[in-house]
This record gives sequence, structure tokens and C-alpha cells, in this order.
Amino acid sequence: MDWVKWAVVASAGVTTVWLVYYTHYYLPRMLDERFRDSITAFSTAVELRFPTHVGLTKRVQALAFAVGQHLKLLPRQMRDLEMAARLRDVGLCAIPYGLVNGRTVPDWNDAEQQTYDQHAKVSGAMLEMVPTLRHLAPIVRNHHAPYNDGTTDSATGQNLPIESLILKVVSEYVWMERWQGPLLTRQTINDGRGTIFAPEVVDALWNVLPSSRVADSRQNVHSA
Amino acid sequence: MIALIAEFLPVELSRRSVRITFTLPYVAGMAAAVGPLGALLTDASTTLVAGLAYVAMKRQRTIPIWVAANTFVAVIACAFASLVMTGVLRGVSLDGYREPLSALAFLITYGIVNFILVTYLDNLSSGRRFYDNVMHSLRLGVASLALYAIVALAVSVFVEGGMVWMVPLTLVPIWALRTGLAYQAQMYDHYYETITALTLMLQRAHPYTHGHTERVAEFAEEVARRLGLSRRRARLVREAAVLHDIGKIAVDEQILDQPRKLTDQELAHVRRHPVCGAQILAPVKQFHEMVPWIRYHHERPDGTGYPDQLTDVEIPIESKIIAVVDAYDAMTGSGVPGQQRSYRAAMSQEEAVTELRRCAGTQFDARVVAAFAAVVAGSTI
Repeated sequence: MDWVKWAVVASAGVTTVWLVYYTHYYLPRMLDERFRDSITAFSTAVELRFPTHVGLTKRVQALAFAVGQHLKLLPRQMRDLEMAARLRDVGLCAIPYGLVNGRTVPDWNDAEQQTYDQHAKVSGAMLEMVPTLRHLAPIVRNHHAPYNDGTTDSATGQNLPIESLILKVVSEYVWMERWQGPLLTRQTINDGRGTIFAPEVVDALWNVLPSSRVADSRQNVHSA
Repeated sequence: MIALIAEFLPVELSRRSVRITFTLPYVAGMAAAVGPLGALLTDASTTLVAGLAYVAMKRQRTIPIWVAANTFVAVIACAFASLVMTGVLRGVSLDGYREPLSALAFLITYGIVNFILVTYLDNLSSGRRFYDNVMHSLRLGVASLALYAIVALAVSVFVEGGMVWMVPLTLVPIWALRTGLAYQAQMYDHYYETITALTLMLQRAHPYTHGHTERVAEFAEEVARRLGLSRRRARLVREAAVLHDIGKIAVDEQILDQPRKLTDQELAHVRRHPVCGAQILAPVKQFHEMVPWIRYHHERPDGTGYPDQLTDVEIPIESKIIAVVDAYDAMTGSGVPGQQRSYRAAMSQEEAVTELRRCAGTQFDARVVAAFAAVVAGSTI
């Protein structure tokens, strides 16, 4: 072959290397980044509607991630868990504005509590309508389902996705901690261990909580 | 065989109902190395076999008539490309470069003829405009065609140099291209799904917005085109119009539904929505262009709008378009029962346009009002 033909083959080789890098490294990262941006937009919408929820998602996401790691979830499960943690409350936009703003949880009657509890179902229904997020719908729909009895899917706790079981424990811990402080919350969660909350997730949470507190305090020191 | 493998690695661009396959560089290589008849047989047989296999596998949108049409297109494109290639072969005297040049001539001609025929068929079957197809295909096609050319050249060099065993390696860049197109299709879908998801959130918070945003979006795009904005920008205006009220997620629905004039405090609460909308959309990079349009869609040319009291020249034309169309829809409720604002009766189309004209230059941009009136006059929306 003369040099022109070598040049053709060499340019094909160089193009191939660049293309493989672009399509297997750059594009997946870009797509992932776009997913995260969109999910941030959804969380921002919920936090603007209900300012009492500001910071909740971040804390739930961090704790859920730590619990997931402790339970040795697969990378795909960890990714789904992280996304579901951020999307779990999109259905809150269907909850009346006045129910959450200007009122506290202890003020709610049973009907109002039930209205609020609908948000998991609504979140799941909304995700069902978005093809690229549809696989997260069962996780999100069941993120307040009790561990050992009837759920929104009529499944038993053992049949629920592990990601839902983690979100159930973590999101309720973070929510209750705001209203009744860490000690009473720990007791409430322990009381429901094995009935309302998955026991292995509760144990994992108690294991990761000290380190997450250390991480939180470090972050506070840095931000201060 | 490799052409058949490439045919079985299509990318589905679901929103555009397009399936892209990757046989062309191998058919071009065959044409240069073996001759036009070999290329024609290879192309026709791979298209037919893969098409029938998809029918058997019940892949969506694959029906026998389309398999026949695809095969027919392949044969015609192949025949034209062979004619051009033969002409090039006759005209070129450089020894040793005949095969690569033939492959290139075949590839380019095939690409052009195939594109014209497919676009024509698409226009017949779905009514999609020729211009839109050209724009979509140019964006997708130029990079692909450049890669095809390199691969076709490499295939012809390998075959001519007796290194046929190297040909399968050329599937690597084709596979990478396929992956890249699949990612781009996902990103395209994701963009529209984000808009859908945000719209769903808004509709859950304020069910009356259902229908309103769609009507506003259609009018806004028409007005943008009439004002001479590019197609891309007009499409962005449409998408911004769909999302213009997204900030109302942060507004109390009981205040919005009040059957009376709002108090100052309530008005201040409602007037947060353009800022909240901009805040919600800001994290998404693809929305960056439209964030200011949404933030300023309640600004007025006379400087008394909100949230920033901008003056005429400071307000983007896109915000002015959304402002006019939004106001029109709010005034008319578009004649849809239950869509009228609760605090006043719906106006007729003529009354609403008269009102817009009355406010032109103060509340609304006069040029936009004129364009909008022209759109409404000839509209069936």
C-alpha cells in the first residue's frame, strides 16, 4: 500500500478511537448530567411549593446512599436509589398548598394525613408517564409502604423493592427528626422495626448514622 | 455477511419514527471491490432479509409494505450510485486510486438518492414537511456520512490490498456511531420528557392550566414565525410557552381560584411565579435560553411590569410574545367551559383582540400585538 492508503487506514483508526471515547465516555456522562439537572428542577419545584421541605431531599439522598452502600447494593440499584430519593416527592405538587404551608404535622386530622400520604401514589403515577423514569415508579410508589402488611401494591414487605424499604426508613427518619428530635425518632423507628420498617434497613441506618453525623458536622464546619 | 450484521444494528429514533441502519459503507465497499451488481444484490438482500425478520419479530412500525418500499428504495439508490460510480471510473486515470474514489462516489450518490426517496415517502405517509426532514437529516447525516466515507474507503483499501480479514474491524466505528446516535436519541427524548414531567407537576397543582399552556404554546410559535424568528427560535418559544407558568407550582391554588379581585398581599404572592419558574428551570442547561423569557413574561413596555420593572428595550421579544398570547387566552378562556378565569366572564375573540390593541405600547408590545391579531384572524387553533 502507498502512503495515501496508509493515510486512509490511519485516519479510520484515529476516528474510531475518538468515536469510541466520545460515545462510551463523554455521551453517557452528558446524559447522566442531564438526568441529574432535570431531577434537580423537579426537587426545586417541590421545595418552592413547600419551603418546609427545603433540605429534606438532600439529607434523605445522602442517608439513603450511605444505607445502600452499607447493604452492598449493586451499582445499578444505587443509581436507582439515588434518583428515587430525589424524585420520591414530586407528587407533593398535588397536595393542597395550605395543608403543609403555615401548619405543622401535629395539626393535621386523619383525613388530612391521608391526603398527604397520597403523594407517594401520585409520584408513582407521574413517573409512569415519563418513559425514561418509568422504572423508578414502583420504588417511589412504595416508599411509604409499611414493611409487613398491605401496601399500595398489595405486596408484602419482602416483595417490595429494597430501594423502597430504604427510602421508607430514611425519609421517615429525616421527617420525624425535624418534628420530634433524634432521640424520640430513634425510639419510634425501633418500635416499628420488623413491622413498619424493614429490620435490616433499620440496623443499617443506625450503623451509618454516626458517620453521617460526623460528615454533616464536618460540612457545617467547612461551610461556616 | 458484515453488511447484514450492520443492518441488524439499527437505532430507533422513537419520537421521529425513524430507524437508521449502517449497511451503506459495506455496500459502497462492495461496489468498488466487486462491482455494481454485487453491491445491488448485497443491499437488496440485506434490506429484505432484515425487514422480513423485523416483521417476524413484530418490531413496531415494521409492516410488509414498508419492507417492500425500503427494498425498492435500496435498489433504485444502488442503481443510481452504480451509474455515477461507473462514470467516475471512466473519467479517472489515476491508477491505484480507482477503488477508493469509486467507493466515495457510490456512497455520496447513494446517500443523496436514498435521502430524496425516503423523504418523499415520509412526506406521503406522515405529511412531515420536506424542510423539517432536511434539517433533521442534515444534523444527523453529515457526521454519519463523513464516518461512512472513511469506513467505505478503508473497506475498499483492505479488499484491494488482499486484507479481507481486516474488514470486520470496521464494525467497531459503526458500533460506536450506533451507540452515539442511540445516546443522542435518548437525550432528545429526555429533553421533551422533562418538559412533560414539569407540565404534569403544574397540572397536578393547578388543574385549570391543562389546555391553557397548550393553546398558548401553539399561538406563541405562530406569532414568533410571523415576527420573523428562526424556526429553531420559534420552536423554543413554543416550549417556553408550555413552561411559562411552571412557577405557579409555588402559588397557593386557593388564591388563584378566588372569585374576586386579589388583595395586595395575595397579588404579591401570585407575582412570585415568574421568578419561581426561572428558579425551577435554571438547573437544566437545555432551558438556559428560555429562563429569562419566563422570568420576564409579565414585564411591560411601560416599565410597570413585574418582577424587575424592565423597560421596553430590556424585555426579550420572546417574553413579549408569551405575554400577549397568555393575556389573550386568559381573557377568552378560549371558549372552553370551565377554563375561564373565575373572577371575570370570558370575552369574545374580537373583544380580547380589541383589548390587546388598546393596551399596545403600554402593557404589550405593539408589533407583537399586530402579529398576534394577524395570526388570530387567520387561525383555526
